[in-house]
Amino acid sequence: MNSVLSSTPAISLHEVSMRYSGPTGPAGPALADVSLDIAPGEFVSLIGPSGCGKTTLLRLIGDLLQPTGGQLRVQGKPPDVARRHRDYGLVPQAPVLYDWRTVLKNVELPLEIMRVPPAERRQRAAALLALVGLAEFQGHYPWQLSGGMQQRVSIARALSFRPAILLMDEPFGALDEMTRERLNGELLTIWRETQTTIVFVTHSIAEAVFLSTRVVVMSPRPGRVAHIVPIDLPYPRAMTTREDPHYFTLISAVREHLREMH
Amino acid sequence: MDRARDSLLVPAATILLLLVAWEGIAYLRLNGLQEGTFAYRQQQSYLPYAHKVLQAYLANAPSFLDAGLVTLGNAFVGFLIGAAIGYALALLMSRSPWVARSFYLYIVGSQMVPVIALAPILYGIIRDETILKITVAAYLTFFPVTVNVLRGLQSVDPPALDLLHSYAATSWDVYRKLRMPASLPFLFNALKIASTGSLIGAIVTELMGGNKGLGVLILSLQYNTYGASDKLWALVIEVAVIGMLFFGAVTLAERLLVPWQAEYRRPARRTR
Repeated sequence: MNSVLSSTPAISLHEVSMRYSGPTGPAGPALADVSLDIAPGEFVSLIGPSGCGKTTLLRLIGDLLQPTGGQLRVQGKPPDVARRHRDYGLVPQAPVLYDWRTVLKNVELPLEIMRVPPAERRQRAAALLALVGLAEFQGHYPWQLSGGMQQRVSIARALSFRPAILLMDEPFGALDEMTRERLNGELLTIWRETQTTIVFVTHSIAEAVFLSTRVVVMSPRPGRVAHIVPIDLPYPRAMTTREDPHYFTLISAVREHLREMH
Repeated sequence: MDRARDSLLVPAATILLLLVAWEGIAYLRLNGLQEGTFAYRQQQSYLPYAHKVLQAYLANAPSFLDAGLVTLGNAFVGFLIGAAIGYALALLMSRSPWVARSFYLYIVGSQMVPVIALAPILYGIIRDETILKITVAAYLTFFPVTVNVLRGLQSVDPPALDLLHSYAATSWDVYRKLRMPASLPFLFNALKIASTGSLIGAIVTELMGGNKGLGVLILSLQYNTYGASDKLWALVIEVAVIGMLFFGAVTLAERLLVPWQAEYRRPARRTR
């Protein structure tokens, strides 16, 4: 791989801070001096106590919020430029599917907005639904699917325009443990197949350790990067990974770091 | 199958029961009185026999239906115009808070004027029976449409807007793909209210004078033929049926155009 390209981080944060004011949320500092570089193809989880600014950080990267201080680069570009270049796909907490569109049409939505021709749109959306295991459900409406299936549609939709980065905000938080574990495995497969850079917000230590190349532990509000735990478990990870003693060691390490701050 | 049969049986039984009670009460009033006498006509104005009402309808069906079609036609044209104006106004108001603030008060104020007071003033300006009725029907339709659609356009969730923002969607895309579809259930709610409203508006306008229509016929039956309450009842029932058909047509259109709404949902063939 070209050494210049590979040395450019997919996402680069330099002393980024965010201070809320006014009625949009609790006023005051939400993030303080967050510095972090994420390499292309990495899978980085953000974990921390509620209100530590994990979601805020994700929204800053996605240009859904603008920082009050510091420097932010996404694919080497300012976040608003990266957003307009459609460099990232968003997987929000709730699946946010349109009730009036079939599953296939929901996945086609970003492609419609990006003016992709109908035939190509349909073919790409169908291929992604096959990737997330929902090929037979193309003609269903979102409300006819289970929560886990809806979240898979949301992931397929985010991948439909082949973004370099996926921003995932607790996508599996509302699912039961079994569904969550299955989707974790599927997500890793997709990540390896698409070589996407993933930033993943979660409350679950086990989920963060299972998925990530690195786990970023954040301090309570105002959020800072307290620790970065590299996860040196080999890929592909599977159910056996969840029984690996080293997996438990890493979970304990992350838990210790979280506990230190309380 | 059972459900389909029940949905026909229950209303049919209700109507039958109602007719029996009606005939019974009328019998208590009219029993022993000679048809055509003053006493009969006096009692009949309290409640005519149901079968006499039906006879009166059958005898006058062509002229009654004619009047009904005139009024319904005018009301429907006004309904369509009012819905279009109401929707456009809601779009405009949702685009610009400035327009919304300056219009809202006047729109609400306009609805405080009763049609009975407004129609004569409008007649002074318009001076055409048909256009006047269409105007009144449109006037009664645009208000619920504007208010409801405005709410519908603004009812979208912030996460849904974030998502479109993340695709760098244009503001027109946000309307076309999200706000306008999301407003459809609200639009149909308003149209259901307006369907009966526009019909009543047209009839009330006709009551104040005119040459054709249900209101004109009601007025002439009231004044010209004392004791012809069987005819009056027959006509009023026709009005009710027309109103229900109008309402039913709007509901059917909603079912076809907005089938994703919770009350129309059918579970998928697979188990959920």
